[in-house]
Amino acid sequence: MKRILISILLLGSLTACEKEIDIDLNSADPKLVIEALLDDSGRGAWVKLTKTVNFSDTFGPPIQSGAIVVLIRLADNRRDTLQQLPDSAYILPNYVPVYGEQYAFEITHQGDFYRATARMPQPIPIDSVVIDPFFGPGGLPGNPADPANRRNALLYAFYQDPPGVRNYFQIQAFQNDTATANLFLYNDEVNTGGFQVSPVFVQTYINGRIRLELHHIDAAVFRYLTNLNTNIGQSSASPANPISNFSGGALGYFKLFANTSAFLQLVEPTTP
Amino acid sequence: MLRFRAFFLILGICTTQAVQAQTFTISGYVKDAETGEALIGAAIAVSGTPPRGTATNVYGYYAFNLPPGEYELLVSYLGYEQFKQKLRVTAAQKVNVNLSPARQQLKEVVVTGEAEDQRLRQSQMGVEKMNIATVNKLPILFGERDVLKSMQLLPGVKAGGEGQSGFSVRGGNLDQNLILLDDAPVYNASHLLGFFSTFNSDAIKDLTLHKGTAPANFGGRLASVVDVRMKEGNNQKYNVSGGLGLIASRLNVEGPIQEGRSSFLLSGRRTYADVFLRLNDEFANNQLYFYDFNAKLNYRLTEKDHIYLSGYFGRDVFSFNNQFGINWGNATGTLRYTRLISDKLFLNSSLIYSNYDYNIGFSTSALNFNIKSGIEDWNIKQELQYFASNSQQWKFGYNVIYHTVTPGLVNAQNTDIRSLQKRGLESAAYVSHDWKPNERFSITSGLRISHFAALGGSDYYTLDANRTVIDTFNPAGIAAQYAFLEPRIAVNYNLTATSSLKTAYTRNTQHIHLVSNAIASTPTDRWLMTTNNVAPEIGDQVSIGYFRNFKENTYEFSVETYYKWMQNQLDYKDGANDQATVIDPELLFGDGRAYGLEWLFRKNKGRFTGWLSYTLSRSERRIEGINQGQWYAARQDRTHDIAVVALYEFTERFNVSAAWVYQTGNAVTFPAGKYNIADQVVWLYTERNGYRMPAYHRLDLGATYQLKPKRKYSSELAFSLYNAYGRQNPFLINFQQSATNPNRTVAVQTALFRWVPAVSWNFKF
Repeated sequence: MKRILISILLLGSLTACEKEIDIDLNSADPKLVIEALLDDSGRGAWVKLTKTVNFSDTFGPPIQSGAIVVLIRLADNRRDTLQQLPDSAYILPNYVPVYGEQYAFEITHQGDFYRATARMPQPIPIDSVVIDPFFGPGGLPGNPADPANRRNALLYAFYQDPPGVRNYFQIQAFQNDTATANLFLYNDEVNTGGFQVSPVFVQTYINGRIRLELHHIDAAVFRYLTNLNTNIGQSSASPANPISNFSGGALGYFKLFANTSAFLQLVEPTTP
Repeated sequence: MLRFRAFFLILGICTTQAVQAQTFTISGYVKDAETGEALIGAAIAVSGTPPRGTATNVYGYYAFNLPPGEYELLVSYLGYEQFKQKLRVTAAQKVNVNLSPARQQLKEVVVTGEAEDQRLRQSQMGVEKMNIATVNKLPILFGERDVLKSMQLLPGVKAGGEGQSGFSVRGGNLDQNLILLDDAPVYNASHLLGFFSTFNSDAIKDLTLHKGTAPANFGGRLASVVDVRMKEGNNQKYNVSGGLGLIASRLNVEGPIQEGRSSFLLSGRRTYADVFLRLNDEFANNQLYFYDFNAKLNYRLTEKDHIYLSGYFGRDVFSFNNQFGINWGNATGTLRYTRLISDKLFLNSSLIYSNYDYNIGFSTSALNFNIKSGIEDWNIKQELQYFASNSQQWKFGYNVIYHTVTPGLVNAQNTDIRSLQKRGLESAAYVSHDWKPNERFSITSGLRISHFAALGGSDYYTLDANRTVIDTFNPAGIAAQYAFLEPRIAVNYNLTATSSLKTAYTRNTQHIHLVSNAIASTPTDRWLMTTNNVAPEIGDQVSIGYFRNFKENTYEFSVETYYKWMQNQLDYKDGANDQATVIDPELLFGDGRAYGLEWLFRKNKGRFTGWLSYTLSRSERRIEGINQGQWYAARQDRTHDIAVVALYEFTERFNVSAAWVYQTGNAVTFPAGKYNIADQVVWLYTERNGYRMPAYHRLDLGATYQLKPKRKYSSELAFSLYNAYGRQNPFLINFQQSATNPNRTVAVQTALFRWVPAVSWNFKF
């Protein structure tokens, strides 16, 4: 909301101007960044290890190789070691976690040990999706007469929230199988146990195939992603590093989630 | 022998009493002869040895005692002709004084009297008065006269951001200022995201700023009290004034209902920025404007009873393609009854209503929702002022406020607002004592007892050590309550006739908090009351100052230093979600400290007037869980803050003005590194507020030319140029990947206003 208002203000103010400036920023010691994903889609476990770089450095963060990455099912202490693809992620294909059970990742890298645990949430099916066309690039209702707005839409995903517990969700949109950058995060703090309506904004689809994935996640991952969102968007009043569920001072997260999808074919609407 | 001494002692006391019994009370009102407006703080002096003096209260009333005899009464007020009258005291007397505005300020009108060295004489320190006439001559953004923005040119007061009417006083947060309009708190004193203040200077009579050192009759905020008084309306004749500006127009009508007895004032303002916006096709269906109204009625029932009704209503409206809309604003109302119980007892009772709310509407083909959010106060205030003697005055009073806070939720479905609404009862009782033991000393001391009760009937949360919600409860009675004793003392010692030394200690507590660290004041800022998880803020301030006037008060100089300790200062925890429905877990509490040195040098008389102010200061916080528990700079911490203001009158009808400001940049958090998650750039932070925005500086120029006045009609043209040398002061700094080399990260600053010229035409008849 704040950002929307500020951008409108900037739009309205004809005198606003932007320019690149030099800022002398401190450097920081490189830290390990862990992205660890596991869901029930059959894709299996996927872990990518990288390191942070200084602000002034160019990107191209080196993939960290040679780590020992182990997935543990805590119920029976079954341990599976992930294999690294050449200069890429560590994987454990076809692994399917059991709903309601606890899992842990243990990573040993350059003599340091990192660990994260999570419980596998229950799958929540998407009941239906409603399409609302004609949105401006900022996600605000746009002028239908403007052809540019014809290719933006707001989708509303409807799903039933399980009662009795607090639930957290992420909706990921894919346009022609490519994930969109925006993070859509919802919880049931307001409408606990009720039918949820979660808006998802898609931009410049060209008569494309849209897939919505509903990720049922836990509180720690929800918080991590919320912080990640404000960090990336630089919209926080208190910019900070998202708090990782990994111990040992690593950045990044272990996201264990139940994944359900809905498919849509979007057609460019005619102006009403 | 001992008995003998005791006898004389008793005799001495009796004699004193006998002498006192022979004095008579001289009292009355001091008013503007042309408009009938009560003059606040006018100086009353009586010749003789010792010379006696007092000042009028906020209703223009004064009282003091004199033994029988012949005297000369002198009444003076800055910008008015002095009033002189022989006074023969044989019995208690009413002396009502009407002062005429000084016509020819340019010629050598000797305006002497105590009002001019008020800053020197009064025991209170950290007090600034804004003269509305001066405010009207200063250059300002978009040419809209604005008391709150002009106030930011004073030492110890810092602007919240580019063009903002929000401000920080002595290192305090923006929400630590109590802004009162005729005693009614104004929660969001800004329009259009802070670029205009809610105060239409046409309707404002007087503004007093207390920089955290207010006497005991004020309380509830740590950093300052801004006491704004609306005009009462001319009770002598009808008066229409107004202005046409580039961005807004104003109209002000005032006049008597019954001449000399009752009057009204109506003042309105509306902006039309959206008219320009609509010239662009893309914004054709958009609205962006604000309007506000001030109204006041005042009626003298009898010589001793007076009733006032004043109100303010302002609204900002923004809508986008008739689909998304937000509107927000304040409404205040004050019903006040004052009664002169006796010459020495002045009673003031007020019933005050205050509301700030915002509404968001969103309507598309698939979804409709509407949200109402805000803060509402009902407030009863009663104060008895007792003019005990020439050297002593007492104030006794109480104040009870019933708050209802509706949190802002951007969520559509089935929200039960009632259960989320918080209610609180804030009460205070106080006594304040002004005492002049001798010619050199004056002392104001006071005690305020404050109490806050967070009332049940809505959800409260139990948090664990990690500030995670572990339980929700809805108590029937009181959820949490706190009580405090707030002592205050201010001492003035006159070193010589033209210099004084002052010191003060004040404790303040605060139960209403704003959770926002944003760069601009936004309508969706969240107000939060003290609860079981949100502890009340406590502030203690000590200050010392030296005041000196030169050349018969032509020049004044002051230097003040202060140190402030603050407890339970709230800040967002790292990466807080400021949109969270339950905000308690997002906040952390700790200590604050602020200290500084404020210099002010001002020239008050002659063609050339103006001032130079410089503040050297620091404001820091230490909160467990933020910045590894180490002290860090508060956002508003700025080491240097300079303001130079110059006004020059070429002729009676033409004057120019200039204001230059320089400030160290705000403390901000910038990244030290970066990394990738899901192919997006994530910033690595190492410390809170460890960097500085570039220094801010700006020159504004203004000129006012009065067109040839007709018999009943006068008008003027006011020109202003904001940011005359076009400095690109950063409003925002963002980090992004370079467009030319996506692997390189660059910092990009957004500057808002360069060279904003404005012209407005003001009229009066």
